[in-house]
Amino acid sequence: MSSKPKSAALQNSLLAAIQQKAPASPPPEGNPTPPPAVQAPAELDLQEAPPQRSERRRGRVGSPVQFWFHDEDRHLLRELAAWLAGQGLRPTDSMVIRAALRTAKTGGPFLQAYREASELDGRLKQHKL
Amino acid sequence: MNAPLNITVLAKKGGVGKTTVSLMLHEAFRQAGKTVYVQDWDPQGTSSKALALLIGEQKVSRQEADIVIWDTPPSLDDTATATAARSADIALAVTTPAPFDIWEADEAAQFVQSKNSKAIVRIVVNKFDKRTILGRLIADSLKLVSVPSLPIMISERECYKHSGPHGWKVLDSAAREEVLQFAVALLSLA
Repeated sequence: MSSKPKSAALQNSLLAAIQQKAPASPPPEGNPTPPPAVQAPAELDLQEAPPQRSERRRGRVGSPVQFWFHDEDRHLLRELAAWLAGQGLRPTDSMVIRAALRTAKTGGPFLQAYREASELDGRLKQHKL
Repeated sequence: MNAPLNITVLAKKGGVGKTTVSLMLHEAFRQAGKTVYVQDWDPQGTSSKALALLIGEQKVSRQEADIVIWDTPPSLDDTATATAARSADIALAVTTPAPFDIWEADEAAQFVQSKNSKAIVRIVVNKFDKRTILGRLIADSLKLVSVPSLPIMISERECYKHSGPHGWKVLDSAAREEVLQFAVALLSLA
């Protein structure tokens, strides 16, 4: 008859033990620390290069590009980078994107992925309106 | 900001209950008011499907969570398993009481130790039933493995399977106590 309150008391004490032992993050407003460098947003390295830089590196092949990434895209990029890290590499975002471009295949799955990405694209939505 | 506690759940083979253990831990920590992120790297994606039903989209990122649970593919050859092993503060090699599974769990535990010497590695017995022969022999079976096991075993209960899409509310009192005791035992290692 008294088993239910006893069980509830036990559960409460176990929950209190978890609260005490598990790590706790501070609330979001008290958290001004920027994320670590490896988890920085997934823009290419060259995005923030000032114009003078291109003059200094005239012999360099390629040009700066800017992407708009959603959180979902960053997540995918990080997963690919994590996989490469598992292979003993230290991938940069640029290298991951370049590798992905080289392995992408045209066809139905690519078309479907493009359509899904288009659904998320705010600029395309504006044009449609 | 405190670094999250990374708990990697792995096994060399499928069907031993990696996802069940991951989801039970998720629910236990959530009940205690902790923010939990489940990194589902199992290609079956069962954790993700269950979480979509339980909480919808995960509310926090991996960096913001108090606890990150890594649910891995049922293979030690997969690079995702290796990455999860390298990230682990605590690694749980899940097994059933069957000797074949226990041997594979021992290999999984040794795999983590080879990838990440700092990780605390434990064998977790899932689907335990003390009324069966294998259940009665479990203490002897675990003597054959090189890695210690967690003292709390997860019992064979139908409500655990039911809780996949329905969460904490469908667990009976005994199951809740067991899962919470399991979580406390786990945190005591860290």
